[in-house]
Amino acid sequence: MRASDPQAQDKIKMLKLDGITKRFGDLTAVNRLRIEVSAGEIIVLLGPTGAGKTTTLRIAAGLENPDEGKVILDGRDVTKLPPSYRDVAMIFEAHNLYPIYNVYDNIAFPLRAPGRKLPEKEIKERISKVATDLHISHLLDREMTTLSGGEIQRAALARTLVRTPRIYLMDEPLSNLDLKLREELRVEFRELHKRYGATMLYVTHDFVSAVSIGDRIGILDRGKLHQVGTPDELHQDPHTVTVAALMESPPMNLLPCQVAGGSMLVDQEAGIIFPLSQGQGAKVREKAGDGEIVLGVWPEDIRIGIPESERAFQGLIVGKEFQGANTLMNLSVGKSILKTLTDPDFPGGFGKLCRFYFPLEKVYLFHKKSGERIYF
Amino acid sequence: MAAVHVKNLKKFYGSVKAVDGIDLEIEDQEFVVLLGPSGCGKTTTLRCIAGLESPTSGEIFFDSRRVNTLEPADRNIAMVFQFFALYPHLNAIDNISFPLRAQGTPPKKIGEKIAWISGLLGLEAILKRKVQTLPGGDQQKVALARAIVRDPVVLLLDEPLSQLDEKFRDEMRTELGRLQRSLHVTTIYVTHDQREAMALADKIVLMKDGKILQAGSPREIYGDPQSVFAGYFIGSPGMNFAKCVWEGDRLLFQGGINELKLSDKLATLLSQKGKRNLLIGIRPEHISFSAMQRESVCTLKIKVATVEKFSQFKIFSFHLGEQLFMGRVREEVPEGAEGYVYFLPDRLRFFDAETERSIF
Repeated sequence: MRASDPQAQDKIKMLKLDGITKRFGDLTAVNRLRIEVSAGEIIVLLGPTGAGKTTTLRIAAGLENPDEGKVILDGRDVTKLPPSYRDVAMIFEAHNLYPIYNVYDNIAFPLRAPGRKLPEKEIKERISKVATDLHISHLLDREMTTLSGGEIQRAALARTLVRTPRIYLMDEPLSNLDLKLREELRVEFRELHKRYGATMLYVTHDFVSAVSIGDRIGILDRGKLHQVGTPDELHQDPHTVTVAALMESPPMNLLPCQVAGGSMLVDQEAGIIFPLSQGQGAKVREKAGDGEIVLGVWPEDIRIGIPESERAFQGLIVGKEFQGANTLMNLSVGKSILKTLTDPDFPGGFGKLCRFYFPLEKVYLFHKKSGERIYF
Repeated sequence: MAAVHVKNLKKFYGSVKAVDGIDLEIEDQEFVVLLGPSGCGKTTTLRCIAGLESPTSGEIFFDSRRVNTLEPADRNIAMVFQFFALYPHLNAIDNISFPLRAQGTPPKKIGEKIAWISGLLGLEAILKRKVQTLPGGDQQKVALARAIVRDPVVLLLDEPLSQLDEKFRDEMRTELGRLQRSLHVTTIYVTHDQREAMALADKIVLMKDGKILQAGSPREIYGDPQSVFAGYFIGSPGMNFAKCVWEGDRLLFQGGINELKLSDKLATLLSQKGKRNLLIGIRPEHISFSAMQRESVCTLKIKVATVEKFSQFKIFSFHLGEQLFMGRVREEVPEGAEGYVYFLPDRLRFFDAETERSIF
């Protein structure tokens, strides 16, 4: 279920992280983070290594205590509760399955735990269902050590899904896999989610997984949550330069830029100049002050191979990466490299000049120092 | 710089045939990528070329020189590994100049070389930094600079990007391509990541179970996979496949629920081949979706399972028998919608269900 679905708005908030701060010595790993996950929703926290993703997840699970802020689970403050009292299930990048048990006993493990102990008959029914859904029914008797990487990952997922906690917390569960397996599991994951309707907080550094799996994505960098929204929302209106740089692959092209007189000058040596209206110029100057600004343009908004008769900028082709359905072009422009996707049949090779264009309407501006978007 | 020829190379570890008789012709200055899943023999092949493993049998030539018996140090190759293998407590400049100093290169010459390579890789600003303080992408650049600085005849790269963050990896991939093309150094690159292979290679050598499945330019392999594995492995997502039976006028899919009528041209071709048990293959971008039926052949009624919304395209999935198919389109496709998919007839590929080799 996508969050754009109006019904999702009425859903109860299953998990609320309310102003969470966590410090390790001098390092603020998570800084006043606020996020709400609705029942049945998957939110993905996307960010690079060191962004604070795993710490956030561990705080939600109760494996770390926050220095400030509250963890509210299904309306109840669980900040001080240990993990086993929270009714959450966490799956880690390095899944700790027990090598001495077979697949069945590994999956059954959380259901047999003291305090939760289900009758074996029910355990069997649940495992049989989850094993069918994950295509591992034929593996249940096998020892863990005889499984392939993908099979182990499925077993780990099964062990998590066999429970019905209030929320699943997922720490890069697919990142150790071969690219091919990841592709398959991503889609299966989404299908499974629709079937189980589970609530999930999922963290990853992989943009593609984030878009595939998440209803909404939260962009996290250096402990700060920059923006939360559907992939479309983040794409159309990135609030900060960090969001623009982490969303999409290739990400937004970012170029140094300054406003002088009535024009905007992009990357001094690039020869890209946009005349600004008086109102636009005033707005940009007012918000940017004397500070430098960064111009952003999405790869798909750059048209290339513009005929001589039309207005265009010029760049040098310094890379042409065939991707099958399209080709990624790298254009050297001034001191910057611009990336754009083209048809695989686009002519022109390494070292050739290329005429390209993007209109001012497609331009995003950001304050260089703060990273905040400047609307103009 | 050198051409590299590998003749009937075999490397067995006990009963395990890591490399099982491969032939490679790598031209001078060519960028060749050995691509395949873990255990396919790609790294073992590279290590044999480097001289880090001795082949069980077979021959390796650099130009016309047989190098089988040469030590790695005497082959004039440079190798960059997945892990950086730098001296962490030394600064970048000392790491890069290390092989030159070891060779006894005069200091003036070393200075020139360092200036050249750091300009090429954009390392000027970090030359004095200790490598352990550098981010992964920069460390790998330093490793690359150290490899290239001694003008090797062959550059060998073993998954050099796989330990980097996604973002760095994209940047480094572009950088590597640019670098190789300005250096003109013969390059053999090992990876399991088909995106890297497609982006960088002049020629991809696709390996599986110690053998070469197919070799060719990225476009050839992508456009005309000779086996089910090649179609599946290359492309993201890969080619879609489903088992089916040719009934003379239509294809019947496993489970018997779905059937596909083909264009007259395809039907004639298939009947000529006289095969009944087939696998049909089609790439995601050659599948389109519409709510209403628009075509009379090569079309199927389906229900959309999932949709992944990327800004420039959407990937939607649907079930065909037991198979999950993925299509790539520009327009919005609603999750759960019923409608019709259309397979571009010219882009349909057929494979023998038994051998999994291409029919046409």
